[in-house]
Amino acid sequence: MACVTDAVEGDYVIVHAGVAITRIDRAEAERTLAELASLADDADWPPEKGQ
Amino acid sequence: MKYLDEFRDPTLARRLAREIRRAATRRWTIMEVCGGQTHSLLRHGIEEELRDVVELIHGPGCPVCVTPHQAIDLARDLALRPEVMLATFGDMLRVPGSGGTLQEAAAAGGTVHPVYSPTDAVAIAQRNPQRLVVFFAVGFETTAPATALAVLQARQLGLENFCLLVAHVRVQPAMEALASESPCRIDGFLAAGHVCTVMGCDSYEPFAAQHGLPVVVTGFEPVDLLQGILECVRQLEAGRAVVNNQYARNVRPAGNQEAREIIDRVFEVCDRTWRGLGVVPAGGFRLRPEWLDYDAERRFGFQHAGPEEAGECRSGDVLSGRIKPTECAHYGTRCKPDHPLGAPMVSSEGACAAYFRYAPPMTPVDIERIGS
Repeated sequence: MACVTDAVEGDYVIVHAGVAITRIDRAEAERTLAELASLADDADWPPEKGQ
Repeated sequence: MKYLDEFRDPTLARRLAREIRRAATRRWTIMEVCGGQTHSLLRHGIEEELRDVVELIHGPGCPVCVTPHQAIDLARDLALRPEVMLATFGDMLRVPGSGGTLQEAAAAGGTVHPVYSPTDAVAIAQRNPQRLVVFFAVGFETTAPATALAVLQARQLGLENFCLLVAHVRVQPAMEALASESPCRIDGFLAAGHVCTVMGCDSYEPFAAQHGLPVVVTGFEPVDLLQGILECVRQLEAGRAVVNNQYARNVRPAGNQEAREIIDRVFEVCDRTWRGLGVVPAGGFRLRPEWLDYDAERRFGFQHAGPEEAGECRSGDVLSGRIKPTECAHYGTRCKPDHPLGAPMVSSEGACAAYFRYAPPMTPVDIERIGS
């Protein structure tokens, strides 16, 4: 954890070659998922051919 | 798994693919830089699904693949010396240099240890004080912090029987080299998400502006990749060329400061030969002068060999995106994962290995294209 010293129990980190290189930012992950969700709603129209 | 399954959601993936189709008025050529992304694109059928609207060309982001023959030859030379134990990542063992692979060197009596982490090599040195442990350090900025930590640890432990054969590479200078090729076939880049966790994405701003190419920092799950491609296509359709961070859950604008500081303590930027690209200015890391005691090339008085020999393997063309793996005459015939002619067929991040494992059989269109 020498490179992600602010990680606390319960955090998710990405480990590469034995070293944690980043901590997953939950707020950013949720923001990206919300963006995707809004896109998905809009994408239901027009329907795809054959559906 | 939290924040993994969500980015593998098939419904979202289908909707994103449809959005990409809606957005594209023509076929765009996009390079995904990282070999991990190449494998995911092939594995999930994304390349095939989008073939008519996006041509994905596969970048040089496979550290094992871009390691030149000369470095492998030096590693073999070291592994065969009775006083040396060579340690490196498992992928390196089957990559042919000009005189064979490290695995063959081990079979011929050399000592080669596959390790998961550079610090494992430090532990081997501790256990074997009578031998000199050389860690063959390959990898991008993602791996450089781990190698730097191993050096710091070796010094802290006062180990004198540990050193490095450094072949570390830096991604952005290689993208610079590809974007500067004339003509440049690339309309936009999906930048390597994991390298950016360390290096950040701020440094791509001048690059995108100067070359007029969108750069979308992108993750590795299918939804990540499709979202990255959608953003890239939208920019291209709007005539924009800016940096977008699709992988914001893991990539901060300035990267990981702690990791960058650890790299900077031990390494400095140097020019480096990349297989396929030749000498890339500022394309690598070497040990700083104060750490040269840990430099295997200095300890053994190695001189850098001559230019890279062109063998039968067309890895240079594959790694720079000039050809697809299937366009090589040896693909799937004389060159397969169990008897590779070159590194891209060996590595878990190599484009040829990704095609061999995941690509559907060639269609008549492919065969016609290869023939033309």
